[in-house]
Order: sequence, then structure tokens, then C-alpha cells
Amino acid sequence: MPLPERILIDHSAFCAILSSDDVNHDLAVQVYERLIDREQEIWVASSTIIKVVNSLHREFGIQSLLDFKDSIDGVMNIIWLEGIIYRDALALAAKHAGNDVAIDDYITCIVAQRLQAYVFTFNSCLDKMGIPTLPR
Amino acid sequence: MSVKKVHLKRSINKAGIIELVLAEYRIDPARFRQYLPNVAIALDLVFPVRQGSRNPYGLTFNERQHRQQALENIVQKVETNQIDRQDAIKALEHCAVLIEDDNLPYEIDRRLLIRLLGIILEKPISEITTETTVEILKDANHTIVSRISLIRGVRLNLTQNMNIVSILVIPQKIKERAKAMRFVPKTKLAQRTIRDHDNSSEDNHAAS
Repeated sequence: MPLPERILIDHSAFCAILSSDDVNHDLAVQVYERLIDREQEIWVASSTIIKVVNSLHREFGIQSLLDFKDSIDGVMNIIWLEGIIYRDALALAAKHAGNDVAIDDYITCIVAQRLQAYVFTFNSCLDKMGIPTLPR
Repeated sequence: MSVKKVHLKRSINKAGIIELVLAEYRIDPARFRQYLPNVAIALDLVFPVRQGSRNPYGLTFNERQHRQQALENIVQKVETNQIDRQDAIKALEHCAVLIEDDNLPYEIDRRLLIRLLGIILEKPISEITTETTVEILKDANHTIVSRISLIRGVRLNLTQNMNIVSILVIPQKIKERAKAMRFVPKTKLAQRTIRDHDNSSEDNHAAS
């Protein structure tokens, strides 16, 4: 398959990158390194950023949060979620009522579709929703 | 009032505004996307992203196997220090094809790519301090049809047949990589993971 041009990083991928004892850590770092090296267009949803910085702040303090911000500046694009994305995510959740899928994942699904992006994730439910994902 | 402003005032109607937005989107799509991501997404749907010369289907199984095998043979020469400049160029051409196919083996890591580049450039990449283009195919008849980022800050300019015409080195971009990797923990942390505080994603992780 050709190299995807646009990638959306979800929360599970950030968790795997940031947590060295995560079972997927090594693979996540390898994939992330490659995204950086290939200069692919990297996107992150604002809701993901908020979750990551919140966790970093709580766990490691303000400096780690500032380091993280400095690290991703100019490397990742942030998509600031608007009401319409939440509305579409809720509509999708209603359509798939009964599935054990978090609303965050529906948001990721909607954003990925709009960006026409692959999702860098370790969350198997996105694959099941037909969203192209990394690692393959 | 400047000519530009007069022209702008005359064109302020619905169609004029659309033209202005479209012009901004076409001139600098990355910057436009940064400020108005949702408008950019909507425009992407109407004006799809150009795929360039990329083959939408990728390599066949045999093509991929052939490239990977040929690359492996050259890598073995690197390990025994029997590699020359032509081998290194050939190796990077195999890498370019496999990168475009998103199938470069993980064993071909950054360190190895930098070593191959060092052989081709005849000096370590760290010694290049200004933006430099190194010509590989001297013949002017070779047209560049695609570009592949080998590592951040090093781009291979390629012909239709994926031969390297030249290598562009941008030291500023190479530095950007170190910055982008700064938040990734380097050692096995004894600390708790951030997921200890985030039960919501744990279930998803377990499922994967």
C-alpha cells in the first residue's frame, strides 16, 4: 500500500509512545519516528491534545507539559473540534447504538473521515469501523 | 485608497469572497489549514489532494520481495565494510521504492540510512551545516518526478524509474527531528504510566 500522506494520531497511540512500559511502546515509537522522518502531514484532534496534556500535567508537572507543547509545535497540526463534529459523532453513535464504542472513538472516526487520514492507533474498534489505521 | 483596495472593494460580493478564500487555500494550503482547518477540510472534499506520481496500488508481492532481497544483500555488505558508493546509491533507491510503498523493513533504521548517506556524500551528514543539494545523476536529461523524505531533512529527488537524481540536505529540518522526539521517553521509566490515570483508554488498549 502506498505511504499515507495524512495521519491522525489518537489517544491510544500517544499513551503507547509516552508510556515506556506499555506493551505497544516500542512499535509506537518506531511508527512515530517514521512519521517524523517521512515528513508526513500529522494531525491531532484538540480533544486528544487536551487529554494528553492533562495527563502529563497531573503525572509529571507543568514542565513536561511545556516540553510536550514545544516538541509538537511545527510538527503536528491541531484540528480544533467544532460543534458540527460532535453532532456528527453523536449521530454516528446513535446509528451504532449497542456497540461498546466510546464517544471519543466516534469523534476520531469523524475527524479521520473529514481529513481523509489514516489513524495511528492501537484501538481495534477504529479498524472495525472501516477506518484505515497504522500500524498495519 | 490603493489600487489593490479598490479592486478588493469592487469584488466584495459572494463570488468574490469565495474567490479570495480559494486563492488563499491554493497559495499556501498548509498555512490556510492551520488557521481554518474545518474550511480546509471542506475544500479538500471539493478539490481533492493531488496524489502526484504515486501509484495508488503499491508494489506487487514479487516486486516488494525483490526490492527487499536486493536491499538486504547490500546491507550485508555494509556490515562487512565491503560497500562502495554505487552500492549505497542503489540501496537508497531500493529504500525509496519501499518507503513509497510503506514497506521499508524496520531493520533498515535511521542509523543505517545515515551510514549509507555518509558513503554517498563522502562525509558525515552532521558536517553539512547549510542547505545543500548533491547531484547524483549528472546528466541534465533526467527529470525529477517525485521526492521522498528518507529521514527528516534529507530528501531524495527521483526520476520516473526511481533513480536518484540528487539528494537535498536541510540541516534545519534534521534538527527539527530531535525536537519532535524530545517528548518520547528514552529509557524504561520506573514511573507510573500516564494511562494509570486514564481508565477510559485501557479497555480499548486491551482489546487491541
